[in-house]
Amino acid sequence: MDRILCLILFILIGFSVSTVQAQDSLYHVVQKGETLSEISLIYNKRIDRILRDNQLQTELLEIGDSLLIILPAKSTYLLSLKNGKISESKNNNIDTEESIQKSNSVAKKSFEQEDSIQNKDQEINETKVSKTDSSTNKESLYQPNVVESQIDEKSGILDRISSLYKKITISILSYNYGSKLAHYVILTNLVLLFFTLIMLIIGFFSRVFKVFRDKKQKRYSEFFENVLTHFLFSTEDELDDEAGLSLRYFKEERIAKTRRERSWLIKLFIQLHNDLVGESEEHLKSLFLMHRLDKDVERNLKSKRWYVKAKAIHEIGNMELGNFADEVKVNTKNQNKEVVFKSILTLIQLDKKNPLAFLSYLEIPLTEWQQIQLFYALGSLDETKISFDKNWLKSKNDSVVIFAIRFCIRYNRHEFIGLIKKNLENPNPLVQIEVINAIRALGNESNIELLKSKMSTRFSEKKQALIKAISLLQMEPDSLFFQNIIRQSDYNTALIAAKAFYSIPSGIEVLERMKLDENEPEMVRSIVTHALDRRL
Amino acid sequence: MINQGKILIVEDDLLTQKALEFRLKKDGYTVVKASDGLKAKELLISENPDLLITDLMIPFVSGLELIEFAKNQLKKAIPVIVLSAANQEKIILDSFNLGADDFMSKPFSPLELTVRVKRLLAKNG
Repeated sequence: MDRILCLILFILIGFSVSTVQAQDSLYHVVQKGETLSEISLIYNKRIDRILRDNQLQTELLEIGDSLLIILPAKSTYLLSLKNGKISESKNNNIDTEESIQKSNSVAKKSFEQEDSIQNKDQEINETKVSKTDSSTNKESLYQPNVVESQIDEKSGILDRISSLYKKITISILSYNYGSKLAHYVILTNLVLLFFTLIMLIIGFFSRVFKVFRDKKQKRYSEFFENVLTHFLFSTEDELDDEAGLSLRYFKEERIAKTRRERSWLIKLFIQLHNDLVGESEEHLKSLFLMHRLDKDVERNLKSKRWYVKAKAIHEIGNMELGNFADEVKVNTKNQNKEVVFKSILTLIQLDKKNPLAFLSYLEIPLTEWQQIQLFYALGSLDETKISFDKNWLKSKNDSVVIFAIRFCIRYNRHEFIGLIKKNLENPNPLVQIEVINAIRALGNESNIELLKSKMSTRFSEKKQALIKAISLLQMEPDSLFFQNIIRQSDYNTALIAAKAFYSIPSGIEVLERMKLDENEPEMVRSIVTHALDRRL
Repeated sequence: MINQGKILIVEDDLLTQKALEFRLKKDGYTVVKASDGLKAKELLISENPDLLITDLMIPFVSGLELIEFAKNQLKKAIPVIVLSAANQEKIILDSFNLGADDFMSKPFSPLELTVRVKRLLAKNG
């Protein structure tokens, strides 16, 4: 975070400098008697360019009009001070710096006279040269040195900021003071710089606060750990003074006062509860309830923020707070998928008799990862006591059907194989593949004809599952069947069919013959060779 | 309380380590702790404990390697109790093949652990 803010700051500074250096333009205020052609001569700029830059349709000008003149880089500037305005014009007659310095002293006097017209609070030290141009009857002026200006500090913060801004811009834009575009750029950059500084300051203080909070958490955690371990393995009589005092405070709720401290304490409870069983586990739970930490969990469960709710549900599951089961069940219909899944996992921990009841009304699809987590959660339960509802195999949610089929495979629920087979007509190929896997795990040889009848499928994954199932179930291997598949299928499917020969008596010899048979296509021989190599 | 023996606990979860330490100290054992395998090896040599209680998933040196070290490379082999959340059959068999005397999976009962510790120390004299 800090590095990103520093990078932004450097980019802004660089941009400010580059934009200032890139600016080479000025505004010419039209004087009495001036024409566009005269102005173009002054700046050595084409008339059509001036018209285009100012989006003008006509060459007619009015006194006081401000014309934007974009000059090429490293132009020689001239400044004049008239009527309190500093404007710039280029003197084409000046070729060398020496002549500029010479005429500077001559023009100085005329500028000092014009200074008197200036605002009495502002002084600008300039060295000017005034020279009358006979051809144009116009004063051409040389580059002055704008050294420094004293800014009037009027009362009020806004006036001070305004004065400071003028001071900054004069010093930066000593040549381009009249350029509005330059002003806008500088102003924008200053604002951005200000906000960047604010963000840096916020970042710094947030970092300091985080370090302080982490130290506090570590200190409190060590204290809570000592108290908890004392409580678990000691009676009050056995404790020394300090530990006994802590325990009494703990029971009277004098420690863990703030919400943050209580959340740290809950975290420790869960950590210990997950590691211990038996008497210690029960003690922990009683202490958890005695300290009324379940009220914190209940409050978080009602939170509108999904991550707070999910954390509370997780804590309910870990501490096995069965009294919250109904509220957790309600959250299985939450809009947030994370909350729904946390609720499902928690219900498995809370409702050990019917942990999969949520499948009856689950609407969201279960991902592969979620299914893995569900099976992991079920692993801690007595599998003989997990009830199964056959309606899950008819669910409209395909992921529920897949999960139910996998459940039957894992827990050897042969009695449902008939219902499972009906799902072969399911339009979802993933469901069909799971059915084939179930037939392979739970079925017998009588299913082989059924499996062979499905071999005309377009889906190669389904075909591969069928081949594996047939090769496993058949008592008398059908060598010709697999040879035809090798010859007619894509590479991966053919390879699986070739591997089926591993379990066929004399299957390896058949593969060897195919490998050496020159009448076989090159692809077939390659597949067979590959299968033989992988077996080795 | 009479010193019942010195036990080395190797566990990277500090809270479990603390709970074990407190439980065993309460039963009169001297407890030495390590949070990683390297430190555990050093303590096995320097402290010469009477029993080793170790997790399998520890930093730097695995628990299985530590069992082999405690059984084969010390001057006197010491009894080893494995306390681990890893409950795969292969890992349990590997532990016993390397010479572990007992295996407890997490979550564990501290009361049960102390009974097993007492039994092993009594058996080894």
